[in-house]
Amino acid sequence: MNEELLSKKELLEITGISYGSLYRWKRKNLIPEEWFIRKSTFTGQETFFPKNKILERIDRIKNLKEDLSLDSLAEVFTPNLGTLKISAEEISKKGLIQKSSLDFYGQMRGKFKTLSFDNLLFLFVFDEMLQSGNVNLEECKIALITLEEQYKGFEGKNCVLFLCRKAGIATCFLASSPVTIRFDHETKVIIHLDLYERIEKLKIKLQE
Amino acid sequence: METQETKDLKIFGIANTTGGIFRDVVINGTGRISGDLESESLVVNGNATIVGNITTKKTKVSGNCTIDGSFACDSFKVLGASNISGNLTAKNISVEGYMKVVESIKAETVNVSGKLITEGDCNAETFGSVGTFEIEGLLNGDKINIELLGKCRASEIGGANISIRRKNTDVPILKQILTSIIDGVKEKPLMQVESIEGDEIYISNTQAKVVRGKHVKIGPECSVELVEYSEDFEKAPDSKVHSSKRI
Repeated sequence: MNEELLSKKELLEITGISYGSLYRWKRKNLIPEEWFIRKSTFTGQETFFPKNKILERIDRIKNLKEDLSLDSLAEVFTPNLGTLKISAEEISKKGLIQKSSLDFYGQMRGKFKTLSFDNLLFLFVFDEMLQSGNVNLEECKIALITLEEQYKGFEGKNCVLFLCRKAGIATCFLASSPVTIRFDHETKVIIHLDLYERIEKLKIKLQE
Repeated sequence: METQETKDLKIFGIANTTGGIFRDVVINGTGRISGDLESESLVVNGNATIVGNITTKKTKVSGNCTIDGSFACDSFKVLGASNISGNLTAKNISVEGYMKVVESIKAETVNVSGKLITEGDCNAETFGSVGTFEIEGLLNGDKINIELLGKCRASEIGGANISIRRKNTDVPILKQILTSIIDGVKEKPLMQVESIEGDEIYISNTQAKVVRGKHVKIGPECSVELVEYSEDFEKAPDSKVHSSKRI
């Protein structure tokens, strides 16, 4: 994937942040190391960032830092799953998961009192897929099982969930991100879902 | 539940042992610990080799300590020599002797009065040096205060307040004469760096390719290829700045 890049100078100009803040956020891991892309230019080495990602991230940091400390922000932005346990009441109270998805999940896995963060994440993804309307229940179940069985190997790293269909038959897999995959023309990618983003989303929802 | 009492590990002669969970770990002779180590404190007065990751609170190395693994602690004081092959994470690091870290350093404060070498980055809220250092990666800190004694090197320096200057030789005359003799043999105070980026920058005795900042002050004996500033820029007459522009 060829992303549009933004130089550090341009970034500071657009966002109005100082070098001090940028380096502070980098130290606190609010901006991942992979986003600092070094390139040689005529003035020597310069640092570039993936434009959309960095602008969105800085916007989010600016908005959130009034309510959260930098350390809890770092918690939001790092893909660690942690040892958090969330009770069923909390899930329904915060409206994290739609009721219909919860019911389906209950049928598959039985009723639960508390969920660990990783299971909640899988349920969150399951819910999102189901609510998207593009995927049928069976396919959502395949995705859920794939996540439950295979996600462990990706912990701490970013990964992407793919669901594709060929001739009406669905298959699901996980790939570490960033990744470039090409399919034959008959294969349709139905779901292409960044787990890292979902973790962040979920963590922010939980902090609210 | 009753808390299990943890024991101390003390090595006085020569010993090989395995890691584990301890209260205080003291190595006075020659010790080799294989396996991960967790303790309240770690004191090395002799010669220690630890193969494994270490988590501890208070650490003091007066002898020689080689760690083949990553090291996490609260306070870390190096009076002797330390070699760490992994990452170093600590609240306070004070290097009065010699320390080498193969990966990166992450700390709240780092104070160097001896010699620090790292092949990765060095991240600290406050970084102070009156010694020498070689940082292959980025030196990233909120407050960076470098007083040059010998030759220091970093590939990049970034942060809010950055100050690099020659150490004030505010010392007794006898010591001045002595140091001037030693200085003749030793290298001149010099900071070598590719780029410096910060909000408030003051540098002297520095060789840099690019200096970018809000307020940039270039003191004596500098050689900079390009200065980019957004608010103000000052330069000492004997310093060389190839080009400067306001952005």
